[in-house]
Amino acid sequence: MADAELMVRVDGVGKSFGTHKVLDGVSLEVPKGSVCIIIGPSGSGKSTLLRCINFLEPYQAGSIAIEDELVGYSQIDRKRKLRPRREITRMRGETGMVFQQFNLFAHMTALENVAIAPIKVKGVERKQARDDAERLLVKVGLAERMSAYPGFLSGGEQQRVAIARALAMAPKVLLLDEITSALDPERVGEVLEVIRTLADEGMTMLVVTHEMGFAHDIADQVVFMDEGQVIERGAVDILDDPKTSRLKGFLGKLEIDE
Amino acid sequence: MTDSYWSLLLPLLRGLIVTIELAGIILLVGTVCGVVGGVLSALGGITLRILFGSIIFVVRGIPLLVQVFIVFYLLPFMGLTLSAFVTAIIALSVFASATIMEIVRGGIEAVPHGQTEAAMAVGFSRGQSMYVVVLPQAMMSILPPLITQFVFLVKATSIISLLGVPEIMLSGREVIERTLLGFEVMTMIWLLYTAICYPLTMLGRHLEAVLSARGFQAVKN
Amino acid sequence: MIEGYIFNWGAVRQALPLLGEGLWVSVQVAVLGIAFGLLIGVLVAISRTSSNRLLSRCGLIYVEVMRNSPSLVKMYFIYFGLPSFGLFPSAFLSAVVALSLHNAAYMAEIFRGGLQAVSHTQQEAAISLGMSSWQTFWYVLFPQAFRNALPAFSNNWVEIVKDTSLTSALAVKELFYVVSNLISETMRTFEFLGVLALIYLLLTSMLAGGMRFVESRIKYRR
Repeated sequence: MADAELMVRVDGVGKSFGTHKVLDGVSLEVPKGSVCIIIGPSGSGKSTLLRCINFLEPYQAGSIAIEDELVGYSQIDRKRKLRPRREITRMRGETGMVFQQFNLFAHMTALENVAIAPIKVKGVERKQARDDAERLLVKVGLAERMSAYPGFLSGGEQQRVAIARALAMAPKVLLLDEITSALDPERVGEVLEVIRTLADEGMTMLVVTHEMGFAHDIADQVVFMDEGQVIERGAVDILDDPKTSRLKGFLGKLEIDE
Repeated sequence: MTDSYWSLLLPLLRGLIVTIELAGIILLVGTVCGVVGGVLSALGGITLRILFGSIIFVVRGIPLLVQVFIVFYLLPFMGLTLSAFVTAIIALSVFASATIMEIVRGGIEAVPHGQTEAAMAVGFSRGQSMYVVVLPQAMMSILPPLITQFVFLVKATSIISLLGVPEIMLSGREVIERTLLGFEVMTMIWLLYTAICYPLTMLGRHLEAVLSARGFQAVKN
Repeated sequence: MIEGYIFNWGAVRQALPLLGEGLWVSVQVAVLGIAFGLLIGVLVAISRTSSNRLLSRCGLIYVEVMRNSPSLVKMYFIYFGLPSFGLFPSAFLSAVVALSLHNAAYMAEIFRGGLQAVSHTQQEAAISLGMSSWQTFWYVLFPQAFRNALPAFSNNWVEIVKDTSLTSALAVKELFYVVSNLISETMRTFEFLGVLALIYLLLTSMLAGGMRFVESRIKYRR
C-alpha cells in the first residue's frame, strides 16, 4: 500500500516498564478514512499502544508515523533522538484521544471543555471557538446540556462531550481507548451511535473495545493483541473465522461470558 | 453600670485591634509565601520536596508557642533587635507559610492525573496544562481548607500574649488583674473572638457549598 | 550561623530530672485532655445526629462556640472566671477541663463524620437481626465510626499534645514552663530550646506513628 494513503504506520514497536515487556514488535497500518479495531485480553498492551501513538507514553523500539511524520523520535535508523517538545505537543493536537474515564475538565462547562483547546492551542478566536463547540455538541446530541458542569452529566453524556472535545481540534486520527467500558449498559448505545456517524463520515479511527457486535459493524480492520504482540490481523471476517487458536480461545471465552 | 462595662471594654477593643492587625499581616504574608512554596513544592524536584518536607515536619511537630519562643531568642542573637510585635509577625508568618504551603501542595497533587493526560492529549503544552487545567482546579479545592487555616491562625495570635505583645488576651489579663472581673472579661473576649472567627467559618462553608453546586466534588474521574 | 555561642550541655544534664517531671505533667494533661475530650466529643456527636431538634441544636451551638475561639480563652475563663462564682479550680484542673471542652468540639465533628461514613445498610442489617437501637449503636455503628475517625483523631490528639505547652500560661508545671524557667536561671537558651524541640518532636512523632500502627492493625480485622 502506498504510504501516502496510510494515516498511521506502526512498525516493530517495543516498550517495557522496567523488566516487564508491554509491547513486543507490534506492527500495523491504518489507511486513511478506515476504522481499525483492536481487541484482546486485559494486559495485552492495547491501551499502551494507543498511548504511544499520541506519545502519552514513550517507547523504546520501533517507529510510529502519522501521515508519514514520526511520533516522538526522529532518525530511527542510526540513532534515536527525542523530538523537540513543541513538535510533540503539536502532533498531540493533531491526534484526538477519548479516554475510558472521560477526564473532562471538571471546572469548566461542557461548552468550555470543547472550546478551550482550539482557543489556547490553535489561537482560534473566542467567539468562533464557542460557535464551533456548540455545533459539535449539537452533533453529539447534547444541545441542551452545553452549560452543564461535568459533575452533573451522566457517564454517557460526559463521554459524548469528551468526543466533541477531541473533534474540536479537527484531528487527523481519533484514538478511542475503551470508551464504553466505564458506562452503564443503557448508556453505551448513545456513544456508539456517535462513533458510527464519525466512521461513516470517514474519520480515521483506532478503537480499543470489548463491544464485539459494534466492532463487527464498523471495523475495516481487526487487530488481535495478546501479551504485547499482534497475534492476528485482518478484515472483519477474522471475528467470525479466527485463524489462530489464541483468537479462537479469546472469542470463545467472550461468547461463554455473554 | 454601663460606665464600668465600657471601662472594661475599651482596653479589650484596643487589644482586639492589635489582634486583627497581627492576623491580617500574618494571613497576607502566609498566603503569598504559602502559595509560592506550595506550587514550587508540587512541581519541583526531589531536593525541594525534601527541604520543604523537613520544614513541615518540624513546624507541625513542635508547639507553636515553642516556635515563637525560638524566634524570639534567635533574632536578637543574630543581631536583629526588633519589637515584640514584629518578632511575633515573623514567627507566626513562618508557621502560616509552612502550613498553607502544605495545603496548596496537597490541592495540586489531588487533581486527578487524568486531567493532565486529557490536557496533553488535546494538545496543551506542559505549561498550559498547569495553567488552564490543573491550577484552577487545585485553587478551587484548596479554598475551604485555606479558610479553615485562616481561622486557626486568627486564634493562634492568642499565643503571642505569652510573649508580651499587647493583643486582646494580654489586655484581658491586665484588666482582670485590675478589676478581678474574670468572668465578665473572659466572656467578652470569648464573644469577640467568636465575632471574628464565626463569619470566616461561615464563609468557608459557603465556598464549599458553591463548589459542590458546581458539581465539583462529584467529578473525580 | 550561631556565632560566638559556646554550647554547654552540663546544665541540661543536671536538669534532666526536672525535665522528666515537667514531661510527666505534660503527658498527664495530654492524656486526660484526650480522654475527656473524646468522651464529651462522642456525646456531642450523638446529640448532633439525634432526631431531637433541641438536642441537635445544642450540639451545633456547642461546636460553633468552642471552635471559634482559642483554647487559651477557655483556660483563662475557667481559671479566672469561675472564682467570681466561688469556685477556685486549680491550674491543672482548669487546664485539663479547658483542653477537654475545647477539643471535644473538634472530636465531635470528626466522630460525626466517621458515623456518617458508615454505610446505612449496616444499621438495617442490625435492626433486621432484632438488635435494639442502643445495641446497634454500640456494637455496629460505634466501632466502625471510630475506625473511620482514627486518622482525623490522630491529627487532633497531636494538637492536644502540643497545646499542653499553652497551659504554662496558668503556671501549670509542664515541660514548657519548666524549660522557660531553666532558661532564665541558667541562660543556656539554645541548649534547652533544642532539647525542648526535640522532646516535642519525639512525642508527636511517636503518637502519630502509634496511631498509624493501630489503624493498620484494625484495618485487617475485617
